[in-house]
Amino acid sequence: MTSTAEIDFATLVRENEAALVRLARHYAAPADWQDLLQEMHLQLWRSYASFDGRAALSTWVYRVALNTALSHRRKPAPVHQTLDRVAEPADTGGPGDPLALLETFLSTLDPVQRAVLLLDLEGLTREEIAEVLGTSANAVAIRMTRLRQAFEARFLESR
Amino acid sequence: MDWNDMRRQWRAAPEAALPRERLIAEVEARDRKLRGIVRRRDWLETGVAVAIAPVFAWQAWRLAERAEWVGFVFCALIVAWIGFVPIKLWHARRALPTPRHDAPLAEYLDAERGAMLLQARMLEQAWLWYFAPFMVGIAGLVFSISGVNLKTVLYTGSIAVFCVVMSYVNRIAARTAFRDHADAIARQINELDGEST
Repeated sequence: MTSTAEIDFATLVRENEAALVRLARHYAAPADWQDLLQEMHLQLWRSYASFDGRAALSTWVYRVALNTALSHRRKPAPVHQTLDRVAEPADTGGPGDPLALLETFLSTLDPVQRAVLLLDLEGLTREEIAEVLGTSANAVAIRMTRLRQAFEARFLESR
Repeated sequence: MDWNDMRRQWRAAPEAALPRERLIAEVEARDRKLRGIVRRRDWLETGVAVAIAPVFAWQAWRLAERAEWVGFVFCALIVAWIGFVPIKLWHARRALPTPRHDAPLAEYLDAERGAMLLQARMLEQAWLWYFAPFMVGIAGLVFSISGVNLKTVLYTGSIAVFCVVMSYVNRIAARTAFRDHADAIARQINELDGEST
C-alpha cells in the first residue's frame, strides 16, 4: 500500500473506530473483543484496495466489520482469560438504566437480529442497513419494528 | 427516553482509537504473520513429500532391478501417493470459495457456508484419497517382500486399524468443525431470508 493509501486507511479506521469497538464488544467474549477488533482492522486493510465505490464508504466498513464479527463467533472461545480483561466493566449504568437494559436485550438476540439493532443504533438508515445485510429496506423496517416492540415490552416490564 | 435519545446515548460513549503509526504497523505485522503461517504450511507439506518420496523411489528402483514387479507396483503407488497428497491439498485450498469480507452479509454467509461444506466433504473423503492408497501401498509392499505370515499380517493390520481410526476422527472433525457451523450459517441465512419476506 502507498503511504497516501495508508493515511486514508488510518483516517477511515479512526473515523469508524468507536463503532468498530462497539461492534467488537457485542460479538466477542469480554476477553477477546480486542482480538476481534484487530481482525476487523486486518480485513479492512485487506479489502481496502478492492473498494470500488459502489457502496458508501461507511456502509462498506460496516459490511467488512459485521462479516468479520460473525465469522469470529464461530471460532472457539479462548480458554485462558487474564483477570484484568475479565474484569472489564460494561459502559453502562445500573440495572434500571435503559442502556443497561438494551445491553441485556442485545445479548439475548441471535447474531443477525443483533446486527439489525446494532446498525440502527449506530445511526444507519434502513436503506443502509439493507445494503449491509443484503436484504430489502422493507424487511429491515419490519424487523426493527419487532425488535423495538420487544425491547420496549421488556423495558416497561422492568420499570 | 425515546429511541432517538437511546441512539444518541449509545454513540456518546467515547472509544479510544489507536495512533495511526501503531495501527498501520500492527495491521501489517498481523497480515505478514498470517500469510507466513499459510506459506509455511504449504512448504511443510511439500517438504515432507520431498523428503520421503526418494526413499520409496529408491526402493521401487531396487525392486524393478530385481524384476519384483508386484512389489514395484505397490512401491510406485506409494511414491505417486506421496506426490499426489500435497498437490491435492494445494488444489483443494485454491478451489475453496473465499468469502469477500466487503460483500453484503447474505452473500458473505452463503460463500462461507459453501467453503465449510467443501472442507467437510474433503475431510469425509480423506479415507479415499489419503488413507486407502497409503494402506493398500504399504500392505502390498510388505506382503510382496516378506510374504504372508503372522508378523506381516499383524503389521498391516495395525496400519489398517490406524487408518480406520483416523478416517473416523476425520469424519467427526468434518461434522464438528464444519457441518455444524454450516448448519448454523444456514439458520442465519434463513433468518435473513425471513426478513426479506
